Amino acid sequence: VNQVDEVAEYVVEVRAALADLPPRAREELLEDLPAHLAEVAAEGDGPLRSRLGPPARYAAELRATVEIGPSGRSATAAWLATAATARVQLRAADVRLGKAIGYAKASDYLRLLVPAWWLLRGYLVAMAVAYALDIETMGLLPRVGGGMPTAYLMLAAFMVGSIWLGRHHARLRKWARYALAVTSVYLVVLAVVGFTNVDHDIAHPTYQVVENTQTDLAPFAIPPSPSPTG
Amino acid sequence: MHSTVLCVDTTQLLKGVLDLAVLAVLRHEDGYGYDIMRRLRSAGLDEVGDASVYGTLRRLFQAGHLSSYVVASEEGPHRKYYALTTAGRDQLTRSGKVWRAFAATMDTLLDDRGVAA
Repeated sequence: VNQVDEVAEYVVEVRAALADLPPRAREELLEDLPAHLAEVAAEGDGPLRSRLGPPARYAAELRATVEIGPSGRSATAAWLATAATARVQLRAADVRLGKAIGYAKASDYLRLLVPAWWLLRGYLVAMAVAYALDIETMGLLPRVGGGMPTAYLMLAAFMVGSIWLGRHHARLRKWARYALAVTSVYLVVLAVVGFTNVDHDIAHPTYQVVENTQTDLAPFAIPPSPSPTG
Repeated sequence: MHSTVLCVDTTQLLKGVLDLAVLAVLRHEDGYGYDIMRRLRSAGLDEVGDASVYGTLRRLFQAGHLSSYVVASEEGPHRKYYALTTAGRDQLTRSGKVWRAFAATMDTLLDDRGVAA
């Protein structure tokens, strides 16, 4: 009975120390405290106050556990937490992968490749333009109308343009940067499709090509030798 | 404007990870408040206080990460046992991963700069 009084008294003092909390939050927090303290009291010897410290300090510690994270987390908070988790994991993977290839971070290495990407981007844009102008003959160079000098000139021009754009990226407006990012994704898709097609064409020349070759060569074919007549 | 530089002590660190620690000690076996605190302390978290454990249990319970049931005791009061819910197990897995990644990052950070263990 003495123990019950001791617990009740302790709870009253803890509640008093939390008087500034919103009533609902406070009652939710203290709801189970009498039962919990009764368990604690039953487990060991000595007065509660000497085992748990003064009620005011107990209340302060309790308050800290509430401040860490409110119980009812909103969907946004949950999403933000997931995003934060993903970021931490991504950063850890960045470091792990970096170590494997001899860099502090994998992203450090990727950053070195950015100017190379600018070159590639120039090439891909040239190819995209060539493809738009001349769908029939698609190779590995941006041939428009079949002229080689034009192809190299066009390649050089687009590469220089792409490098310039890369160097001036920071000065671009927000919408321009967004457009650039979207274009880049489009170019990468185009590149994957394009290279796959070209590779396929090299590995498996189609019958059409064989037929064309034969037709082309026909005029130069050696005519069947006339049968000897005597 | 003034700023405070906090010296890292276990109590400060504990605040952030007590949820995870409590979920972890309940992973294999349900427990009641005082028992959970004993498990945490015997695991090496000497500084953990009763109020922190009680408050954390309440919060995890309200968030649906723990369920509870009362077991009558022959001598002494009833005991409220806590058990992990499915959401609690998921949370343990997720938070465990975050903690490990974070700890590994800090280890690397300190190692790279030659800070003694």
